[in-house]
Amino acid sequence: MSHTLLLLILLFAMVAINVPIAIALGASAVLVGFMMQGDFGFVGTILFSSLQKIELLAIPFFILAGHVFDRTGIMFRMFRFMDSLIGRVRGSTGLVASGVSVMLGGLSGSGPADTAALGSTLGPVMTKRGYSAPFTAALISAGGSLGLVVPPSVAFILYGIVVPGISIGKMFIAGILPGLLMGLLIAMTSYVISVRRGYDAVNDAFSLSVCIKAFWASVWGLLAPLTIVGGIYFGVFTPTEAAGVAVVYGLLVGLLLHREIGFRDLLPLLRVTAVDTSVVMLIVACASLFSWVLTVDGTIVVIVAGLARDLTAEWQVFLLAGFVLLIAGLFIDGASIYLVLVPMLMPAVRAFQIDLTWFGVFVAVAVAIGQFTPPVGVNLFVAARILDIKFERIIPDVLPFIGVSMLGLVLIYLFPAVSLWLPSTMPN
Amino acid sequence: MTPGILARVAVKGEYFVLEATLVLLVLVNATNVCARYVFGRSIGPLFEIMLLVSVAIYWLGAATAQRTESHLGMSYIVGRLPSSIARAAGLLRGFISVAFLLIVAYSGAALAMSQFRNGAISGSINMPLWVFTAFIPIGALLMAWRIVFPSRPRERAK
Repeated sequence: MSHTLLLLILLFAMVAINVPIAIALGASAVLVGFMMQGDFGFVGTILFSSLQKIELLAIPFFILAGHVFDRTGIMFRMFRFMDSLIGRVRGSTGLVASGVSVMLGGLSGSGPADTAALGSTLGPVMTKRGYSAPFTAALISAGGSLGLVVPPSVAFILYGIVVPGISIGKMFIAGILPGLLMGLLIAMTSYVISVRRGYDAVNDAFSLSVCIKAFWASVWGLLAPLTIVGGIYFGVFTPTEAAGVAVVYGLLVGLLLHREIGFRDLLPLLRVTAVDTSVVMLIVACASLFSWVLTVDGTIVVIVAGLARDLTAEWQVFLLAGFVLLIAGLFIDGASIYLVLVPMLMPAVRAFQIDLTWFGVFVAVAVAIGQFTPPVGVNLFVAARILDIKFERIIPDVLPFIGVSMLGLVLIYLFPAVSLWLPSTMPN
Repeated sequence: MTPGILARVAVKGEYFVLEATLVLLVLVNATNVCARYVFGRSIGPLFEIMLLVSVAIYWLGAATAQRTESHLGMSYIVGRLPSSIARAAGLLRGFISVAFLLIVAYSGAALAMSQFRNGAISGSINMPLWVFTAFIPIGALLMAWRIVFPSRPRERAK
């Protein structure tokens, strides 16, 4: 039996019995690697070197930024401002939640972190306004996934690591319009469902003074994505620096301007950030072991090269990638998909000279869909836990969001300019 | 001092290290951003400090994540199995996880010892690498310990 086949069988068997994804990747790689090499010498070296990448340093900062912006009330102020603008429309809270998801995606970079922030802040408001808990969880899970597409995004950092030579800053800018497109599709779906089900008829009349007041209260929060994304766009910050700036900005606003938290409140934020980051990084480290075994065995390279030979058009590469990524997204998490599957697809992408930025955005959207697609969809678990409902109850309500997101994926393929126009305007 | 108190002190110490290292990372990164505007370039050694310190935080944090059962897994299939089979799957899961983590600890310790013996140091700040590599076996052993002796739900919630 080929080592690669054994590796994949072991991985799926372990994932099926609920071995943590990171350990399943690592344990299958260690076993097969030992069969190939005869010792465990490679384990420590790969685990140590896999995390020694400057690009990865941005991840803890962006996760911390997400927690800071949530805890300091910046996100809730954004919600109140948008609510003051369109609060009279039926289904407005769902629309506002979609808008806040896009804005939050511009502050943090992690899908589960964004889902947790949205769930804890907007979840109670939505259920109080008559939205069913499963629909709220479904909307928040889909909205949280935008964190992978709207810059800054952990997904683009991982893409930059597996595709050498790609500019992470450029990827961030490329994600803006697709992120807005996905946000719009999610908002439209939420609106249609809310109107059909009669959710959320707020009767207050529009008040300019309330609107202006809410704007002033949220102005520092509204400036944050502009500062972070604008800084990257104009080359003022590198992604890692922008991540650090986001944290400091959030802390300054939270501690000195809004004064909603004190220094004592920072410790739990640091703790939860360390844990969230480590969960991702253990996957990164173990996925590196897995990829190393795949590469040394070489079977997968032969298979992909064969596939690439059989493919005759660019659309077939996208179809294959979309199929593989969406199926993988049903069972494994985003970070593992990036580190294990994306490198396998790259030979075919390069063979057809597909624009790497365009393909990177396509991958991010496909992986983002996987984050709220059952049975694994990590965002669904986070939303279910926060809103205290059974995971299974969310599934029917999340299906329309999966459908429109797939439509978004097709649009991103059909119209490359959605991904490529903004990066083409970046100053050198 | 009872084992319970000892364990609580150890957990507090672990949290302190995690929080302190994350603060250090934030400060070092902020210093680097400022340096780029004041001196016109980043301070290379600061990146090296961040990279090395981050290894410590990731491995220690992975052990903390095990304590709070935050590592991602797929419970969908196991949740639908008869209880006796689910129990057997749970035992197998524990065995696989502990065996893997012991191999990581062994291999990480071997790497740290070889770095110590060879006097391996980092490129620009000349820090001994074994100090940071040692967090791989420490984190892996702590994770394995927590799989064998999981914390109580009340402690996890904290």
